[in-house]
Amino acid sequence: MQAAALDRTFQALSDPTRRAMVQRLSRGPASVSELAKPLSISLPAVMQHLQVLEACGIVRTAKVGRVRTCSVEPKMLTLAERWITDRREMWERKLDRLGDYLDATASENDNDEKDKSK
Amino acid sequence: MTAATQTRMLQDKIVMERIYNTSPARVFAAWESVEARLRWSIPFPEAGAAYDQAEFKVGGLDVMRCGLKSDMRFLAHVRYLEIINDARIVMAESIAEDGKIRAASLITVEFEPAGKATKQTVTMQVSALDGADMLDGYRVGWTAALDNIAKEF
Repeated sequence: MQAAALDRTFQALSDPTRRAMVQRLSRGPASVSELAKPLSISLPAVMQHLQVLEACGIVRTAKVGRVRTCSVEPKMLTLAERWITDRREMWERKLDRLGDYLDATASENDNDEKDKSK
Repeated sequence: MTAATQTRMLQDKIVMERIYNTSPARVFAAWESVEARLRWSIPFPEAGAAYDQAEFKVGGLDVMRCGLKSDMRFLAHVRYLEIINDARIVMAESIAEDGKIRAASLITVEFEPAGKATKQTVTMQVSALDGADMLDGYRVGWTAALDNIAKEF
């Protein structure tokens, strides 16, 4: 996942109400009023939170007739997928840093005659 | 799939190539030396790593904690399967969090001379685990992610 997208996701989930909504939706789709009920907040407030969650792709909503149904976006990465993506990114950085390290220590090493392997 | 106790695994193969303007011996040495590894293998400033054990030899085991400096929550075990000086390192790595395995990888690092430089190829075959009691990927993914996030606030 891109860093900016991750930032948006974390920001969206920094709110306890929105976390409660996602947790509810992770059990299955729900209408807006079903979402609002246990939260004891107004429908417009729920809609506002939904907009935030929709904007960062965590939740999608679809209006069927007069009912807006919300569900967790299944394309969101699973934990394992995210792990692998993060890991690749981390390793790419590490290998770049290895290059920097080799450049930075090149002169030290020349003075050192040859690599000392321990 | 009969769900409830299934642990979902995901496999991936990651190949990363770099050309370094130095000899294979120096690149190899940067992997061999723990001191050097601690200098280059911290991916970003807030990250940290500490070795509890380091044994760079065939059959040897490294035990390392890593993560954020403030929260080194990952425990990595690296077993060296093959070491050919200046040419190849093969290692099996497992990473655990809270005593549970998160990922296991076979990592092959190859060094080839390329003129005066070195071509380094890192191939990682990763199996990542989503966690136990998997009903479906995203549901548990999200529950765990939300739990992790909750700890952050």
